[in-house]
Amino acid sequence: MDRQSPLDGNAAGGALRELFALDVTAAEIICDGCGAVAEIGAVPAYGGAMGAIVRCAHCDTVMLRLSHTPAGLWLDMRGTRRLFIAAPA
Amino acid sequence: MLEIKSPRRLQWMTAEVREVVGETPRVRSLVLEVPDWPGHRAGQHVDVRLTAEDGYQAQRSYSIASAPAAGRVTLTVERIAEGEVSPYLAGEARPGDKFELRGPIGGYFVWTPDLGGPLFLVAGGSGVVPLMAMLRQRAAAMSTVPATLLYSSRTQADIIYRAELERLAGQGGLTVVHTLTRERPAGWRGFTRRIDRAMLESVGYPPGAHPGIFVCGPTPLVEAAARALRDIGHEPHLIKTERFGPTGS
Amino acid sequence: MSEPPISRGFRGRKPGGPSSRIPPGQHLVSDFPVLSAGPTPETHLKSWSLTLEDGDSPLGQWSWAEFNALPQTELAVDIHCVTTWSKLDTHWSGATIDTLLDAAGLSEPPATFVLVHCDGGYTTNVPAEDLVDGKAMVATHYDGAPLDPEHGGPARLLVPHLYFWKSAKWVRRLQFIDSEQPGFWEELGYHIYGDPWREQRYAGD
Repeated sequence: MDRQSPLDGNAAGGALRELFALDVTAAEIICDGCGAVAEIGAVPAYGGAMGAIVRCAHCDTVMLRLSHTPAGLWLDMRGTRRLFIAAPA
Repeated sequence: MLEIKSPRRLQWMTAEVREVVGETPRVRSLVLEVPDWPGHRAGQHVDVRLTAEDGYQAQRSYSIASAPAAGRVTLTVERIAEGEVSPYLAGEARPGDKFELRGPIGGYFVWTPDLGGPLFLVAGGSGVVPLMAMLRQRAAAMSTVPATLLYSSRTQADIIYRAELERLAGQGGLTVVHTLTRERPAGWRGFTRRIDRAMLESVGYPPGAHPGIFVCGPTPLVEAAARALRDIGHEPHLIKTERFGPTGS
Repeated sequence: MSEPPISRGFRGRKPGGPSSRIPPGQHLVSDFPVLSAGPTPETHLKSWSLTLEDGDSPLGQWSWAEFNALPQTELAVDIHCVTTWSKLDTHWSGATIDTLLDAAGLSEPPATFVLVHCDGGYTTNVPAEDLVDGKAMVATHYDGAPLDPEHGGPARLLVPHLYFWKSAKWVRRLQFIDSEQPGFWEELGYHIYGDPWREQRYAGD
């Protein structure tokens, strides 16, 4: 496997569910760089086996970075202005 | 007071292989028994974790192929030659084998019959798996929502679920259109090229019908199709995508 | 906490090749996997530059033409990714950090640590002494051909004795600093130094 194209926030869903009790892939995420609103599942994600890096499709700001190391789960959300997760129906 | 029903955080559960089904030369389905499986919605996936005798672990994600109505978890896995997990799942695994599973995951790329339609599904290779869960659920619910599947495969022999798709299409309301990218068989009535804007336009519903659109497969296919669908005039919020990575699983 | 079920017949990857060249926990690959923290940047060589800085003061800056006019070095090295793949005998060419320091009129690094800055915002950190004495370069060619953008082209840092996330793709600035500052992955739980031979993958290893 020689090429890596971005996956998406769907692929990070499992790791994110370890942290959040609610499913986050349908959450609305607002980019702190440009204010763009997107559903996490639709946003390109990078990082492969090292972690999940979710970047704004409009301005490329790193909205969310996540890694899962033996010590535990790390989450950096400085590029996220706000996250809204709708209550389950 | 607002009470939010919190689903439990995901835990790893043990799955046992009950049945192995050969779908194509490279693809197998595993019917799994998962005690305490909480149920799922069509389009969701699971994380699978294998543990070797020396404790070594490997983990990958797979879409659930079975309809929620089926009450069990079926995974359809394509064997990737240099892969680590897929050669095991799509090659070695046999009834009685166990591994860990976590899910269901994903609230974004899901379809339930009450969401209505029309439903336009676009699949590349093993990207058809979550879309098949949607079509199986549609059938189980006896939904009359009009649906169309545009499905790209390398060759005829690589078409997953071919007979079942024909049967579902025969039941009415569902149109299945195939395209092959590496073969041009004699008597073939489908397309023989990569999915492009012209094909999406001729096969899909017009923007005015506001179809719910789900695109799944290798990343380049998904991004090109999503772009073309937006260019055709479909509203971006109606187009949902799931990227499988370079080779489709 | 209960033991996970053993998956009968699952063997994981087999480590292969001369074992003394493969660090613990690694396995050999024949391809060259791509892992990125973001989309491949589109770099225009006309506006590309590489800068050495001491804190905020520039020490030297080279345009693409100027960089390629510097003495070039070839390196054949083994590389090791923290995601467990290793690749032996990879061939690179470019300008060593020694060459850059020399071209900037310095006989040694001006500070103890380096923060590496790249197009796309990626950063990583390395002690300055791990970049000198032939241990590292800014590489522009892989296997005799210009470096593919997916693999970091036009230029990437190459520090093969550390885990490959330190060999930052699309490098643009090497900033010498007095106190260590963790870069992109180091902030997210990865080891601050990253020696594959001591299996320093994560913080605390």
